Amino acid sequence: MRIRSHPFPDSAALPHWLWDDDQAIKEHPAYRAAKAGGQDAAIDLVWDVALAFLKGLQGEFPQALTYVAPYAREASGDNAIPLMLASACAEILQGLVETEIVQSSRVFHTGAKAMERLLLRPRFDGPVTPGAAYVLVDDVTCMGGTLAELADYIQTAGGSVAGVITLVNTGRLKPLKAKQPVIRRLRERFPDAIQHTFGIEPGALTANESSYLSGFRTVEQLRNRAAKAAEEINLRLRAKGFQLETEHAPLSHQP
Amino acid sequence: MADFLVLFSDPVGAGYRMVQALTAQHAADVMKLLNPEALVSVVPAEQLTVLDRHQLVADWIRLTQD
Repeated sequence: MRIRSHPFPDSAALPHWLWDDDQAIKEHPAYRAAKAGGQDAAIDLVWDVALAFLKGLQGEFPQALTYVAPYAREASGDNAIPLMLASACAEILQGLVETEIVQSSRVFHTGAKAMERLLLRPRFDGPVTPGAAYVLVDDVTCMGGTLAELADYIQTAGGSVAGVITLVNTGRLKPLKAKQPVIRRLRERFPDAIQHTFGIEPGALTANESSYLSGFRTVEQLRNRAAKAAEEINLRLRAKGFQLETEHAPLSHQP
Repeated sequence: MADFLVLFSDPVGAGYRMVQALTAQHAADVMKLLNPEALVSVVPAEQLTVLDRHQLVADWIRLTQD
């Protein structure tokens, strides 16, 4: 299991977002087609809903940054909004769009509960330019886990993360970066369990992930809930006709 | 009843919620009931069209958590 080890840098600790919930984006007539992979629909949606928002970000970021979205190039039917949003960012904010970094595993986070999201970690593939500064772009962020994985992938390969732009930020806590005192308490309470169960260094948890895990009082309670969530994931994916990949089975990583 | 954006800062982090309340103080009281440990600040919803929420939260974090 690949370990997520890099926290969000301070420069990307607080994303830029347009809405707090996904109601407005879901009401757009092109939403369903865009979410199902329709590129023309995604272009229509992004230009309709995000143009003024992105113009308002002019001056927030230096020119010539690289805008990158978590998207699965090979998977037809995968959400087309993030890549079209990244393209719009590059055009309006005068940067480049990265299309070679791709999400190489589907995680089915839509409708998943917090523990399931922690267990179902996306993987990324593709060339990162060492020294290049990237802005991460997504349509919706909830706990920030997918963006955290992309940030970790880029930083591990020598790139840096200059910011985050998302249309919808539904997280209870709006920053992506967790507070240090919270991380310290989690390390004390669960010395190894977070890394063993999720493959995430506590310091690399997002604010909402760390807040969620703070609700567990003991290692046993955390592991029991993770085990139950793993079963629920299995059932949910089987119902969709998928099998859980071995790497996502968290309990095989317990010491 | 009116809509208020109630910023909070508690031991795990910062954010806000939209609250329907009679007055700003009422909105703050609702948030304190939900989250007794939080520091709170209230912004009337009608002001939000001219406010950038990112900047609002950034300023709030600087005030309460740095």
